[in-house]
Amino acid sequence: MKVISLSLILSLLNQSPSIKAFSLGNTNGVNVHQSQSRTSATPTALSMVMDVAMRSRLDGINRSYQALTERLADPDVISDSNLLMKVMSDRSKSEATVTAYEEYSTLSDEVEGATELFQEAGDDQEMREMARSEIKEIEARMDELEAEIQVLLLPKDPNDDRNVLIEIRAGTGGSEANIFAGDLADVYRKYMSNQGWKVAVMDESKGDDGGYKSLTLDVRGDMVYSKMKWEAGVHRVQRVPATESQGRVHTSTATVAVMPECDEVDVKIDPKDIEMSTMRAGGAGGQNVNKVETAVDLLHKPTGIRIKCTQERSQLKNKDLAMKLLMSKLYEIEIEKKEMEERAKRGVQIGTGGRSEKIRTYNWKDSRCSDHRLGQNFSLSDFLNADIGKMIDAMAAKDQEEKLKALSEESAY
Amino acid sequence: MCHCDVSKTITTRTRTRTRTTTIIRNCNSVHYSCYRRQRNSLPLCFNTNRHVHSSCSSDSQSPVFKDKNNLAITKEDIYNHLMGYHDDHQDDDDDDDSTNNNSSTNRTSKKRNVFSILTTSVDLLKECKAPEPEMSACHLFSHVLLNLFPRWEDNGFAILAKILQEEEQDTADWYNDDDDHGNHVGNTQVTREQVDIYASMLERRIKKEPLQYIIGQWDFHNCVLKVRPPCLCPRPETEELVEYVAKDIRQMIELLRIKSVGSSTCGRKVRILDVGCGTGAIGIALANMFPKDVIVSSMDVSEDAVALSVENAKFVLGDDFTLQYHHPLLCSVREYTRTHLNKEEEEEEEEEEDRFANCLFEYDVVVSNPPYIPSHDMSTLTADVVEYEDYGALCGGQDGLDVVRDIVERLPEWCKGNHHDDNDTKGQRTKRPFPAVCWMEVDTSHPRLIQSLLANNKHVEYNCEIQDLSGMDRFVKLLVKD
Repeated sequence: MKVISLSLILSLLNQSPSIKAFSLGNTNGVNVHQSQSRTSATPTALSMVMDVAMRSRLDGINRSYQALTERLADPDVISDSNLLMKVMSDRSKSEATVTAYEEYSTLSDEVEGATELFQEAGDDQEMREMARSEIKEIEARMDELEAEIQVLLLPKDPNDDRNVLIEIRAGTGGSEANIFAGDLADVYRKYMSNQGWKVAVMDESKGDDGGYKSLTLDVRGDMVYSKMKWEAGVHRVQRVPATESQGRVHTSTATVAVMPECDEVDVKIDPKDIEMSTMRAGGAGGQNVNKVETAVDLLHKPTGIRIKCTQERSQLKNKDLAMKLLMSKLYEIEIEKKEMEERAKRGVQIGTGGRSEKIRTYNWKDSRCSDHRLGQNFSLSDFLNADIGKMIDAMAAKDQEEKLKALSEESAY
Repeated sequence: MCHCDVSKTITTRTRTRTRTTTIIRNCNSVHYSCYRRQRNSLPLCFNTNRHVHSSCSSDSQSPVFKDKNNLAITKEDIYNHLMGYHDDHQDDDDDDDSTNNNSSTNRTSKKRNVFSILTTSVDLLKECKAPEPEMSACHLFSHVLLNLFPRWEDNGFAILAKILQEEEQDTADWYNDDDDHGNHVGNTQVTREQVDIYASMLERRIKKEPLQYIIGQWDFHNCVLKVRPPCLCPRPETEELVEYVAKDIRQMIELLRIKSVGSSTCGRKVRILDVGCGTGAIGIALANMFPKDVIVSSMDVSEDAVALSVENAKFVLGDDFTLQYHHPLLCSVREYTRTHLNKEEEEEEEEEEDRFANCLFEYDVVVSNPPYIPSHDMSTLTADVVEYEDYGALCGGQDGLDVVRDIVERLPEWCKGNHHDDNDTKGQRTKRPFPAVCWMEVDTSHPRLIQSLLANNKHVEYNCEIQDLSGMDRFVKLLVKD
């Protein structure tokens, strides 16, 4: 009630929005409880308020959204299918934000109406109660929306909801590294089945004494990338290997690469860079021939990546599979490059891990695993039981905190 | 001694060696002791199945089976060959295979495991000049081995193909280990019934019958379709056609949705016409891709095609397929018109002529894989195409463009007009926010010809041609101007 009476008084006094913001900022704690915040960062770091800067930003987004909608009716755009696709995808990115903002604006109008009612009610207790409760409801919803919009405005990782290809590769350490890679694979497989994700083995190269030299898994499910991206990097293990006869502790590594599935819009693959050949090349095709050999051979000239796909009956499926693998590989390279640049720019410590970044060390003797990015230790037995949810959530929370901090620093200018 | 004049050779490969068996005709006698001692190097008499002394064999190697088209080979021949029945009939003391035959050195029958049957059948197919021997064996055999590959999606043929490849690379010795998955498949025993079924499939393949007909179904795009003669087996190029059309349809759906924002209805469905549907491949694949956003009509001149399309629609889209896929029409392109076809005879039934008088055309997309092979190319086709698939589904007349020309003539009528919204209760007609398109798969020689055909056409405009994955001109896109 304290919050609400404050805002009522302010609106009665016709304060400007910025002052309103400032005052409400003092009661942040209450705000956070009322709204359904998606962040878990501390209240003091957040300013959950619709300030002028944010409003103008939202207006800008709204304007460009309307402009894009108009462009879709433009006959020039319609006839060029590539341009049309681009316009449609740009437009759909802001759709959620615009819808939320529209609702927010409507609600703030309603609040004004309700406060007028409150004012006019004068001494009528019943009317005042009605108006007050209405305002309370609306403001609660507005707080929810503010939180949503705040999160929507955060620079999102566009890959969060994608399926991934995970590659686990044994690093230094010989057969012990292979075995460790196998252990990691077991943990991840258990975790994925607990999450209800579908896992398929794409490619595997088994180690001679067990485990894998390399293993590629295709993982499909809900928001897979947003969770698994924190596992990418170099995992280091310190233990007495199974193959060790004298009880010495060895250090070996395994690398995990997480490649999000991507569409044509993500990775710009110039068709000229690709040489796709089928086994049927040469001679008449089409109705003249009825061959079931539909293998597709894909070569990406700039990087030299060659992929051959023979495991499907239909040529289209083989082609799609080959392109998918290629795009994932290229995309991963690109993401890494971008992340490096971002991190260099911001000095942000958290990243989704370059291939050579040591992210965790697993120590069997002390029964712990330390995450170097978080600077925290976790229980090794939890990890081996595939209970890695805590680690992932901690990483996600830290990342969001960093982003919000960066955002508020920016808007402070 | 034998007095054989004609001989032939069959090469069979086991895990450890390659055995060559020379089959000789008109053999008279056999030395039983020689046979016992040298059984594996002795030629086998074609008539009596007896081994004969090697000195009797002549060197000439005439074709395995008499007939050039291998029509003489029977299923029994194949069955016996796969089972390794080269024994003298007198010697068949344990004809009944239910008794274990693994250690018996009396029999030449090999271990009846997947690996040996597979490799034997590949060699047989090669010998008999069947098309695509390795792929055929893998596809057919995996279809038989339901214990190993119970589901179609398991793609068992790929695993068998891997086994064959590794065998060629001389890594076949791992069949002795027990912990490799591939080994497990290769060593699995095959039952007599399975060999029997496989033998009858191989017989058909040796006669060059298309694999899709033998198996009865095949993958196409994102569905599995039933395939039956004489309907044309869907080809990979047609999958590419579906993809290009789908790209256009996606945009159309979005444009219709945007246009309907603010009105009480969601956008109307995109209307598609599949000309010459055959197995129903194109239309059904599109309906499957956009279940709530398209309505597909189709037509074919063949009753078999119409029936098969219906069957496939039910198979892929479910029992309520008519919500997305209308029952195909049995008619030709020319007949599908509202205008009164000028008929000289007055005795024509009235209903026939005005069959489509009340039809609502207004298609947004017309797609077709019409018969397009020029007649002079028909003689260059291989037996597996021309002897089994419907001539009418392949040949498009002298230049191959007969059906294409008919389609072009009908396009303005089919696509014309503003559309009434399917859901709009006021029955208002709204202009289509995009031009109607026509996509066709054609012969390589056609794009240029079609372009000049449309040079002076006021209603239909040539938009572009696109190559297939083999690099040949294959698809054309036309726009229908309002």
